Amino acid sequence: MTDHSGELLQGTLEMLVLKALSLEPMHGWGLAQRIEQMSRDVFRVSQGSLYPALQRMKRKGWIRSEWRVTENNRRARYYMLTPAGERQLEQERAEWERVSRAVNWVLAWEGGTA
Amino acid sequence: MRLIPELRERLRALLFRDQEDRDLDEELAFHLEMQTQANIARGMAPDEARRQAHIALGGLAQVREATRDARGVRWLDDLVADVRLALRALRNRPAFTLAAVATLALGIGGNTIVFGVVDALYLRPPAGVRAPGEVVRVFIVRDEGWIRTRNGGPGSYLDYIAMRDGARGFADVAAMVFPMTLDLDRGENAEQVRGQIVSWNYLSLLGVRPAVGRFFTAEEDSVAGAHPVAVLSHGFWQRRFGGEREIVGRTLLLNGKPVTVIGVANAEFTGIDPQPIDVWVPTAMAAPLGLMFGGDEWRTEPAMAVVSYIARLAPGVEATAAAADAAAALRHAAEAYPGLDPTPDVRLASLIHARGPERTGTAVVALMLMGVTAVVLVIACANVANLLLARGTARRRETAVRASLGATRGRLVRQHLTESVVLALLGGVAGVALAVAGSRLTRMFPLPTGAADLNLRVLAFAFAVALLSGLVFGIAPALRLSFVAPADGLRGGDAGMRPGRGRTRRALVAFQVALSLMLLAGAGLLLRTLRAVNAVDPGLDTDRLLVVSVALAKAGYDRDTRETLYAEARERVGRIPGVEGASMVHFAPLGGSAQAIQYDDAVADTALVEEGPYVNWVDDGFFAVAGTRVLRGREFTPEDLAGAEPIAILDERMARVLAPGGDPLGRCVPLGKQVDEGGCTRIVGIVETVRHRYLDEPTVPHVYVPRRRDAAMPSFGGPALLVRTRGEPAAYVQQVRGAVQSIAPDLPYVAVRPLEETIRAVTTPYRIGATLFTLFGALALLIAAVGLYGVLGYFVAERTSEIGIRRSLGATGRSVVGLVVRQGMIPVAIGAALGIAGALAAGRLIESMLFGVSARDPVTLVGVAVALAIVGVLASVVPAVRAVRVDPMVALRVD
Repeated sequence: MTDHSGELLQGTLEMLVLKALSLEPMHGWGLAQRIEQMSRDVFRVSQGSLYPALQRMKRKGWIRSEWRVTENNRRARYYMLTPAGERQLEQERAEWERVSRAVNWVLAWEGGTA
Repeated sequence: MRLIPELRERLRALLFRDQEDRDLDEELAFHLEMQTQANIARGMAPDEARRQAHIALGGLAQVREATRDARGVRWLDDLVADVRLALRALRNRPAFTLAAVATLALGIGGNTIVFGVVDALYLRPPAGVRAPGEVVRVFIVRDEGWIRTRNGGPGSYLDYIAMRDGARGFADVAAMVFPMTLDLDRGENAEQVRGQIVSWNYLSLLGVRPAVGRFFTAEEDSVAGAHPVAVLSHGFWQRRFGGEREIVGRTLLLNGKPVTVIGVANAEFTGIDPQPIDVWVPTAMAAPLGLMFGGDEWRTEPAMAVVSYIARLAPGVEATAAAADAAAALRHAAEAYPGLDPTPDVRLASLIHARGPERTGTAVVALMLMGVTAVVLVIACANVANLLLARGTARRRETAVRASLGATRGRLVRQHLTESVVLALLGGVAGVALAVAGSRLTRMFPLPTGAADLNLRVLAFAFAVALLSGLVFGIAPALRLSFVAPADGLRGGDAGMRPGRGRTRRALVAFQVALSLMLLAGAGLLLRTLRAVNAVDPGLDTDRLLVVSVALAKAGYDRDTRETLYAEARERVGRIPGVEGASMVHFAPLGGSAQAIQYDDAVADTALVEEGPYVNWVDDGFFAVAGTRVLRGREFTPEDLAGAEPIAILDERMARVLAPGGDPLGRCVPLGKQVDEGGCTRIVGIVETVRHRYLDEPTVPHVYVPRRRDAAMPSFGGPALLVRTRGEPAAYVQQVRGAVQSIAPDLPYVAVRPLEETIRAVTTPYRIGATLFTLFGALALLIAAVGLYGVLGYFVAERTSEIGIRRSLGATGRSVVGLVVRQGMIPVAIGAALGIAGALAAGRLIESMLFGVSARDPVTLVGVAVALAIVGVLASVVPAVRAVRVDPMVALRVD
């Protein structure tokens, strides 16, 4: 109800989370930092929308969480990919590539029949 | 795959909500901490660093809310909150809650009780049958010829053979004869059991399994009497033989014949009709057991329509196709049966008895009562809707406050609906309690014990009904209440009222009155019917009569021995203190059997004969015992029975038939064989007309002849000993049985039954209909009266200030009372008019249950309308009196 930023943002955010978690398990704040790095200047991801997204993805069974201790000896909730999450990432990446190839092709098109 | 984590997460969110909330708080605190430290590391002051961290996160509370929403259980949180709110609101208004819950409990309780009966009669296939949906009852329709079964009825054994051999649409078809009473054993151990004659494949067609032993073979069902075998029901086996295993191979005495038990059916199966069966015997045993007059002829005689059928549909065959196929097989066979309808048809019906053409009067009544209780529930819902609307006035402010604080309309509707449903469920719980308390009512129905008791299906029904009623009566008030412009609602007082708002409520009252009137009209008609049935003069004094019968002929006693035994029985029973008299009759009164007699129609008024005339055989003193008045002449004396001259007694109807305008007493008229062979019978007496069949059928002219000397007496039917007692006849049953048993040690079962029992069986549907209709009609009226009272109560409350002004301007108390009562009587009058119209239109629904009264009986309709008007006035008077008591000073201060 409060989020009017559209599906693209949500879908993209989820893909970014999956991508980040495919590298290593991370806690929420770490994820926020990583996503900020990854999408610098492209998407402005509010840190606040990260947590509901994580909750949704947990419900979908893409990620799971557990409490661990950080390097600084702090307790934090870490998120990691499930096998379903890995498949989802693969699928989304494929989809993304298909779409972006199409976009590239359209941009490269200079007339005539395909 | 995906469903499982989803489910698990939602479940966790649900069950460990507090834990989840704590975890989230900790997680967010950690996030802020890390961000703050990062900000400090970038050179911010600690306070600023913390502020910026919060800004980056976007508000702790919002994130928390959004994350909770993402758990997908938000609706549940809302529901819990709504239910809490509803319970609190209901607790705050105990009077309203009590009225609404009580009203609903009456409505739901009534429905639950009647549904238990309808469920037992209409919805449950007989237990113990494999794939009951594939099994059908087969009825034969014959429009012309000797046998006419226009609505579908029994046929002959030959029809069974024809269908068995020719109907390809049936995987199998079995024959059965209506259940009969069999005498088991002799002497003191004798009892009567319910037996059914079935074709050998009957039990296997139904897919019943034996508990011990086996079922019949085709061989055992071929030659009459060659294999005297029987299968017992599990219940009978337990009751009579304590479930002993050695039952197989044991010989029982059935109707005096030794019969070997070959098996016991499993516990579930008690037959396919509501009344359980004790013993099954193959069709080949019907004649040897004396169950068919004419011996084994019934299996070869095409006109003996005593057989019913069940069939299992062949795989993949539609019922209509199977019926057409069976009809073709019957038509083919009918070519050989002159005199019968050459083109019989076949009608298939459900295995559930009440759904077929043989449904009993009680089953019809049960269905009608389901309609009645549904109407009562509708009235109850209208009432609660009314109370909710009235109460809404008081809650407008609360609703307005919530709306102005940002609650959406959908949210408000949901909250009001939740309240209604909570109310309805409370009513449902109370209703089920009421149904348990009132379960005695279901015992009025002739059902096997416990069949209509509360079970899971009935509970589920009650729950569904409660839920549905909650939505039905809740939706209009919910929509209406949620449509409050905050500004209007907050303004308060009468200023917020839209004019004409009471119109819906008055319309609801009119609606309730109309429905109540229809129910009460039905109750009135059924009460008048019951009175008419009870007022039928059966031509005898039925109060203190016992009917005693012993099947001596079936048990093989010769005629002389039988007569000696009967004479002895009459003698001994007559000596019992408290017995006023005893006499023998061939066809017992209201027994249903009869025999036609020929008469000389050349000199008779044949227009008076719709059926019969019938003949019956009686001993001396019979009419005195029966309580039948001898109008002229005399009844038979002991000397008559020994005499040689043919004599007879006529009933009044027969007297008018034989001597139009005159008196046949003392005349000698040809009767029976005399009509063809010559001779005549002297008429020695005229008695009042006795009903020998059912009370609700017209009388038939009768001729009575002395019993012992007539060789034409048929082998079926009687005889019976009629006994008049001084006190309650049931108290004499044991003594009378003992007296008869003492005559000889090995008599068959001595059946002793008060005649009132037989009559009760005929009047049961009328009695159930009248009692329950009246009960529910009164309930409906009560609910409607409460509704009217409530509406008027609010009317008075709303107009307190107006009434105060009127009073202070000099209006008399009488005029104020008139104002209120008028307000109340307008919807009552409108409702009554609609109700009368409805009752006239719905009359046809009840017609089949009426006797001696028309469905449009004006006395009933006017009487009910008057009764309703009186109740309406009473319901208006209390609020009116309260209006008069309004102190003008207080009233004016109300705002």
